[in-house]
Amino acid sequence: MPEHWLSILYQYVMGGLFFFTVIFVAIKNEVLKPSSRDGKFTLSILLGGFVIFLFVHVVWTYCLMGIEA
Amino acid sequence: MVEPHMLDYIVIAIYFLAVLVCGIWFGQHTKSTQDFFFGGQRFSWWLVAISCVATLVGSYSFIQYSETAFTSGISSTICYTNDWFIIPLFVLAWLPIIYFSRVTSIPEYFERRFDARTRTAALFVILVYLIGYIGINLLTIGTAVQGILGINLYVGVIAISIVSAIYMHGGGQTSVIMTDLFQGFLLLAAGFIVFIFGILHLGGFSEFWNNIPTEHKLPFAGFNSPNSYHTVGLFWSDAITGTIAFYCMNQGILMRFMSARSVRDGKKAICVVVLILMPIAAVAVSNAGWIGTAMVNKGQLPADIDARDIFVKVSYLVCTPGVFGLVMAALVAALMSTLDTLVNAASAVAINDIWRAKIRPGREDQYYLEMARYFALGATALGICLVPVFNSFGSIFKAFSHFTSLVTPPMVVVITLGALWKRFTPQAAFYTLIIGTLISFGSLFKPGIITPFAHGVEAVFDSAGNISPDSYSYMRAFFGVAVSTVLAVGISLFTKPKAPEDMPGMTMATLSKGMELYKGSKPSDIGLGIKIPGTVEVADVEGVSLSEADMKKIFAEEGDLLYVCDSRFWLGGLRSVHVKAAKPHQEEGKVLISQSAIDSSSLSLDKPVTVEKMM
Repeated sequence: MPEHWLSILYQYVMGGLFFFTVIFVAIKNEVLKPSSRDGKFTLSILLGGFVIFLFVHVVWTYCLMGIEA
Repeated sequence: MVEPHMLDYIVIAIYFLAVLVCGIWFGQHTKSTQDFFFGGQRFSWWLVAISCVATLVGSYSFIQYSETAFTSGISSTICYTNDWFIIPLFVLAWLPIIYFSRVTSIPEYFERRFDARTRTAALFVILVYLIGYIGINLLTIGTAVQGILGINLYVGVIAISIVSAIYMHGGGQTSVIMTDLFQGFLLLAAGFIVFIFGILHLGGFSEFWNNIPTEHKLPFAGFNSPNSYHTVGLFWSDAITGTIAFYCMNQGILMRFMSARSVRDGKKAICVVVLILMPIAAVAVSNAGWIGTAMVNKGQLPADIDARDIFVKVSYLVCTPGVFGLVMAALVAALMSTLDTLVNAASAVAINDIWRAKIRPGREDQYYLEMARYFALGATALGICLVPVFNSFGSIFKAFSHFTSLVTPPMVVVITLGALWKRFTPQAAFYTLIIGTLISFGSLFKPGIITPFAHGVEAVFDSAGNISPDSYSYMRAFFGVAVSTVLAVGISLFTKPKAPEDMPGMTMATLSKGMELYKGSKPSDIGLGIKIPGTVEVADVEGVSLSEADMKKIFAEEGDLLYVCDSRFWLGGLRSVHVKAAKPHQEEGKVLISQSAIDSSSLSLDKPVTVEKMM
């Protein structure tokens, strides 16, 4: 795999592991309640932020290098 | 050395005068240690967020990231765009735990979550971290001032320390937040001024973009090479340990979020900081390096220019007289704002964990406030003493990397597991801090033990063929995290955990109990966010009394925690107070409040206020 894609993959897989583990623990402990209005909002902000950073990094790299380069 | 115009000196002088006046002016709002350290827990999210930028874009940011941008390109922004991974930890666990438990310092949390000896171990690690951080910041300030003005390193360090100490001594956290608000704007503005002037100097955006090599345009560095800058190392040393340490272990940043009027405001502030302001700041602090690369490729700068000088050289070249002075003022502002936050943090730890807890307990608050100011001066003095030590490392970044990767991993593991895992035991926390720190320091003498954790990052060898202690500056963080996690989990499985009822509000699992203790009764979400207008009158009441109709509008009951705030939004909560709802009266729109609440909040009797329920 090209190094620039490996860098993105490593950061988002390892970072994602930490990110989603904490969210899972929060839901399990009812600190974050996805069924409540406040919980839905918090969850959407957290997931939205994750997707935005991933999207920008992937699109930026793709525009410069393509998939195979 | 550059040769600033007289106009530049005037702009720099005016800037420092403005900061000094601002700090002393807002220091008038400091009435207690609660105000000195936490700004009275009254500020709006936007004020906390913007003032936070001045601390985040601190210390070595402009110089270091411009240097990295010059050598590695746009991947210099990684450190400002990889913080989102720890946001769930901060937003869902750490911030509510700390806020609702009303701890005044991080070590205090360690005693309540674990035990007294873990508090002592944490106190030691945090003080080493804070004082060391102050020393590195002072070295950076001295280096920057030396580069601009050509004066002696230590003269610059001492001069900046005196200015910083004066307004810190006068104001505390309120001064820090309000001066950082202005400095935050100035920092971002200065960064973009250099960017715009630089692009114009190059002849337009296409000239700038076309003169940057393709590999410099990528958002990430190489996976595990070059040795000096690679993704895997930055992920562990910056995204995980660096970021958790910065937001959770750095009392200065924590105090910034504790000054928010509510946990909801703190959450909003951190999300805005990481999602919006940090990427903007990344461009502000890095772009001089990108401009420098394009200028070298266009022949406008020599190819052998020292990367460490790139920020000052590019700014000097592209900015007109006066504007260069503004940019340099912003550079020193970045350094000072980090410094004042750290000094205030070290003072908070010293006063709350040593002086008030062990040496002089039970004194008047005014006494501790005065002592806090002297501790701030003492922390600055200790930091000055460390400058020669860090200066001997050869480069600021090298000193900084070694220092943080050595000190932070065990603490980061203990903070994370302490907040998330109720089974994590006091014995495990204590021994993780002690043994984890010793093993981390031991890796300096036997760097080969990091090799299996290095993800293929190549070691640096000295002239005798041994692995140099300089090796694995970044991967030492992963090594420390791995070793500390094994210790923490392993010891926990063989020791007895603390009962949940003995640590209310100290972990995610017991957070609801912490909220109940904070409020004094069961919290209720109904009515949160609803604001009602009113006019203030002083009355002989305990807390604040609203009319029955107003109480109904915000679903409040007697004993609920209310927030009374001057209705002018741009004050950001500077004139506001948290008070408990007293027995209601009948006159709608009237807010009856005690004289002591008026005094502590600086509310004006002739200005309208808004009232809302906080919990």
